[in-house]
Amino acid sequence: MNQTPQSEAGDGPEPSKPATQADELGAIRDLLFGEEKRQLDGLQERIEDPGLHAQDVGRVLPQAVTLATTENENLGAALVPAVETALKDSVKRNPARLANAIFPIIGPAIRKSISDTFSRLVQSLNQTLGHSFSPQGLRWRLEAARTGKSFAEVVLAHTLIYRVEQVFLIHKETGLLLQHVTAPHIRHEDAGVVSGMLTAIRDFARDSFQVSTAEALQTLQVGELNVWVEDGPQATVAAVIRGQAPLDFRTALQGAIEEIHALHGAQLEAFDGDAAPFETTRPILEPCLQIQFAEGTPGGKSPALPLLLLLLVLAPLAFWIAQSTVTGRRWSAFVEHLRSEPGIVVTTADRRDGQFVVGGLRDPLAIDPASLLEEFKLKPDKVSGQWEPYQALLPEFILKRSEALLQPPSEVSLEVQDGRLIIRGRAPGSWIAHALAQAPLLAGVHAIDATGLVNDTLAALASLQRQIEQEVLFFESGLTLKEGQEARLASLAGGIRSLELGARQTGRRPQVTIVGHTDASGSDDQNLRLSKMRADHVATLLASRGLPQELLESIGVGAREPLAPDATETEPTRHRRVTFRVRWLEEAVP
Amino acid sequence: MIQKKICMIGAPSVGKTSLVARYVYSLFSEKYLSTVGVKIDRKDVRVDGQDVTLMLWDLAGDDEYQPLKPSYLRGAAGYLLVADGTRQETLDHALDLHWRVTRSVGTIPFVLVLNKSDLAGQWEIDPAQIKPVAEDRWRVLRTSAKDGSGVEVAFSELARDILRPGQDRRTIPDPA
Ligand SMILES: Nc1nc2c(ncn2[C@@H]2O[C@H](COP(=O)(O)OP(=O)(O)OP(=O)(O)O)[C@@H](O)[C@H]2O)c(=O)[nH]1
Ligand SMILES: [Mg+2]
Repeated sequence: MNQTPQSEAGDGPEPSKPATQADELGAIRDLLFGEEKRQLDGLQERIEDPGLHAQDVGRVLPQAVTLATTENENLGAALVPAVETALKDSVKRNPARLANAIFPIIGPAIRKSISDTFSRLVQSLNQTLGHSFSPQGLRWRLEAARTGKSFAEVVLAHTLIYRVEQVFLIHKETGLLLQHVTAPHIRHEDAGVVSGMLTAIRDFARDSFQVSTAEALQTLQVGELNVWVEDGPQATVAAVIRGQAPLDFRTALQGAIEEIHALHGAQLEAFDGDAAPFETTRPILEPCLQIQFAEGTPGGKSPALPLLLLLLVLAPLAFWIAQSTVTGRRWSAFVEHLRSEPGIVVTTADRRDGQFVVGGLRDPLAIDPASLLEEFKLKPDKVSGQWEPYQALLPEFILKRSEALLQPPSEVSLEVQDGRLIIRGRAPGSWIAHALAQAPLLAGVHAIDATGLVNDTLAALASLQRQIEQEVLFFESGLTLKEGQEARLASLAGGIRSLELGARQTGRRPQVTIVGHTDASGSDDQNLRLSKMRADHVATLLASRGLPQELLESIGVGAREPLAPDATETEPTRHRRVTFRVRWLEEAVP
Repeated sequence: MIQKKICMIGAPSVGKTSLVARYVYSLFSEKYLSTVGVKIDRKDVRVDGQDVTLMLWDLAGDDEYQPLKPSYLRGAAGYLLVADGTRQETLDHALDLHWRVTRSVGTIPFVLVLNKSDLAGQWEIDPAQIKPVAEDRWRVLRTSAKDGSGVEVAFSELARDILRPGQDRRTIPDPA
């Protein structure tokens, strides 16, 4: 566009006169104002082109907003509708996004708002009381001065229909106090003593008028105060009421005592003077601290009612919040601890309907999670565990499992190394057989190393066998044993019996061969016969001491096995003897 | 905190109320105001390292006009059996009350006190008389609500018996 004047000026070879005039003017104008015109055109273009315009505004907007907010408040007000619409749209499109964004501030915001409301209500209550200089207000002030009560008390007395000032939970049998809640700013006597006296008075009334237990004294009147009593099987709830409570307040008391019996029946049954378990009845009793003002009176209109109602609502709430955060912290500590316990794999830790649930995998040899509850001050009935058994493959668990299954005797030590079960020490053969059969079945055991294990039974059997085989019984002549030899038969029989018993554990059976010998005199034939007879004789003697026949066999070897080759003739009686040999027979163990 | 109900039992004017007043408030008065019905006081004590609240039920002295009410005994963990050492008959009365209590609430810990020990000159109870019950391992103590001697011990012995049940305690056989 800005080229047009130039081209017009340069492109007309034969311009007509008027045209020439106009051209000249244009040229002059162009000369004089060309630069400014071009700038103006540029500006106009920027303004009319929305894209370019937006760029310009965008560049200065943050600065402009800052300036506008510091210098006056109109901008904020102007923005409200836009922001509101934007928020509405955002919520409509995706509520979660906004919720997530404000989640961190919403809790503190609610708390702050509650405490603000609270202090404002308290303030305006004070103001109402302080500024009520109406004729009635003045009369009440006089009354306050006369009676020495505070003005607030007098106002309360005139405007109150009823107010439940104290609620007692009393153990019926002993009259001992289980729990006591009071409305704010109520002065009261020692609740324990009141609880006892109340019980005594009711006992007295019951005894004096010979009524049945069911018809116990349910209402007492003391000056402006009424005491309403509701009995459960084990506990009694008593409310101290200023003024006239409606009849349905009795229903509230009944509900409370019923709920307490439902929740604490077992503890009431077991009560032995410790009121601590009944701390948790507060949230049930506190709602009984009701209050109602007469309508149309200053009290009724004053914020005291909402304030007190709020108090009634907040007190249990605050209690609940405090309680649940404390419990919550204990709970997390408990779960953390479980996670660090070997042999326990926590897969779920949840809170459902006020009940804690923890679960996962647990090696039966790991610590019992329930046993930790006390340490973390958690009530067992609030926590349930859902554990699937599994076998942990940590070396310590393989070891524990091995010990539980194998039950090694005291002289045996077990060790686990890279899945290898190393058994060392001395043990009876029976245990070794059992251990070697069972160990491969243990989870986590891949190999067994029993090279360091000594079989006690085998060692004992070997030594017994040696003793028996060194035994020699000497004969005087013929079948007559030398003096003193008979006595040795007893210990010999004992040895053989032990051998037999011990061997049973190893799955074998000993066979004792009694070998008869003679001296070298006489014929071979004779000697063989005599030696066999000697062996038989000893076999009979042993059998007569209770040894089973089948353990024994007897053979005669005549003079073929002399004691020492050179000693044949030196002392004949030394050769007249029987000796013993032990053989082993394999036997299937039943 | 553990609470226990304890009853004061004995003939009229033996000093039940005075013993409680001495124990709880460290006070004594010569004036005699006979108790009607029951009066309850509390005392927090520490027994063998354990805190316990004793709810003391001071019952009216037993006589034919105001006989001991079994309903006041319900739930009692123990009782102080009080006799007046200057009046022989109050000891017999106390022994009789002991049977009535035992029949009503069973065997529970108790301590027998012979009160008014400050009046040594008028003492009527001969040691031989209490020997049989003492031999039967009853706890028997002399007290004076007036000068305070033995009072603290009597209550704490009772509290100890209540908190440690099953220690040497026996009752004499029912004479009835
Ligand atoms: N000297 C002396 N007087 C006592 C003692 N204890 C009580 N008294 C007096 O004995 C009288 C009766 O005492 P209470 O304590 O009222 O007797 P109680 O057993 O409570 O009598 P009831 O309530 O009627 O059964 C009062 O005058 C007391 O001052 C004591 O240890 N020494
Ligand atoms: Mg008295």
